[in-house]
Amino acid sequence: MIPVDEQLKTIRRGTSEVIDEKDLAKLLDTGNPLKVKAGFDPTAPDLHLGHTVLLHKMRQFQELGHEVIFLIGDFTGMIGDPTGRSETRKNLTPQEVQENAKTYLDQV
Amino acid sequence: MNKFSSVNMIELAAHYTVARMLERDDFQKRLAKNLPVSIHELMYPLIQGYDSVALKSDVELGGTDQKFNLLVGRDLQRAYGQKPQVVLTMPLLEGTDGVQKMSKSLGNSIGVFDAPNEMFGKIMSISDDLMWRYYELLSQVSAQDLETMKKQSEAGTLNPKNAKMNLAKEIVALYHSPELADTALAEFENVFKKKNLPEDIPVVKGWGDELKGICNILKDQNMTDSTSAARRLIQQGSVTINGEKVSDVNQELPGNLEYLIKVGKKRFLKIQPG
Repeated sequence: MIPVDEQLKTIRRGTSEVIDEKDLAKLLDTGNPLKVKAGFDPTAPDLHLGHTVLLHKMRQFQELGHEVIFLIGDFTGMIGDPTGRSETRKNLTPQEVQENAKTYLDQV
Repeated sequence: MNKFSSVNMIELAAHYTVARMLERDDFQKRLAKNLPVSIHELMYPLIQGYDSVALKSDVELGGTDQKFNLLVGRDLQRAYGQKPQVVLTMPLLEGTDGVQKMSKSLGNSIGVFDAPNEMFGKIMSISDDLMWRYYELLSQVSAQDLETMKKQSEAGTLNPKNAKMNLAKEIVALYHSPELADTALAEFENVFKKKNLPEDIPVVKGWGDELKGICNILKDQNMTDSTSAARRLIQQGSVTINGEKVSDVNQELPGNLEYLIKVGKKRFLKIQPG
């Protein structure tokens, strides 16, 4: 395993916030590979470099020997994340969500 | 998630309060304007958070706009007797304008599936400041090398344009291939060179379809004083035709094609078919 402070340096690169770093250091200290999760909404099928910021971070975790889990929410995709929304989104049908998820996976 | 029963759903919903859910900004704003917030929207952070419970995740990543949802995951893990995950937020990347976050609808985005030349050109169009940010968030260049590059650029020993080209090459290589990245770079340089041509290049007619030696052409067009001067300049690598270096002093050209001849840095001549 790569030393904890080196791992922290890599993980910290570019982040806005880590809640919190002490807990992260403790987890890394155990030497066990961490389960790292990121969810992606299949509501937007066009992947651009902005979306890849998270993917790069996932890749860094992977290169440090951790387990990364890339979640494409089907239920969450149906609802649509209300974050930053000033109105309720139109619900997607399960078919629409699956089609979007497929395009998404192809692109990743 | 499809196996998740209505009993599970109710159990999950019992672990969070309406008041806490409504703390979030976007809901607050809507309520203040008397706009609807549907119950199913309250479920979103719960379901995302439940994924963390189900996976027993140690870390969850998300954009800064995801902070609320990510923290709900922590709360739910605690409620289900688990160790709360570490939450790590990443900034939302600015688009090519350097001001607003990247979004296709704002026209400032670089698509993962943009053609190589388009992708390359878009990256070359960003400001130097934004370039460093893209380096930090999108490049595999190590933090240490990045620091060195920044210092060199400040000291004037590294042209930011070259750093930008390397970034563009890296990104195009990642989403296309290293070969296509090289082609995109060559294409970009070619277009860039054309743009930098002086506007008042003299134009002369060619000499029909007979072949003529390059040294004679240079002398006859007064681009060099003599054929031996032409020879010397070619040997020094200072003569190009249509952007390509002339390496053979005996090269012959027909006079019925179009050429852009350059000698040294400043002497240009355009030859038109004649």
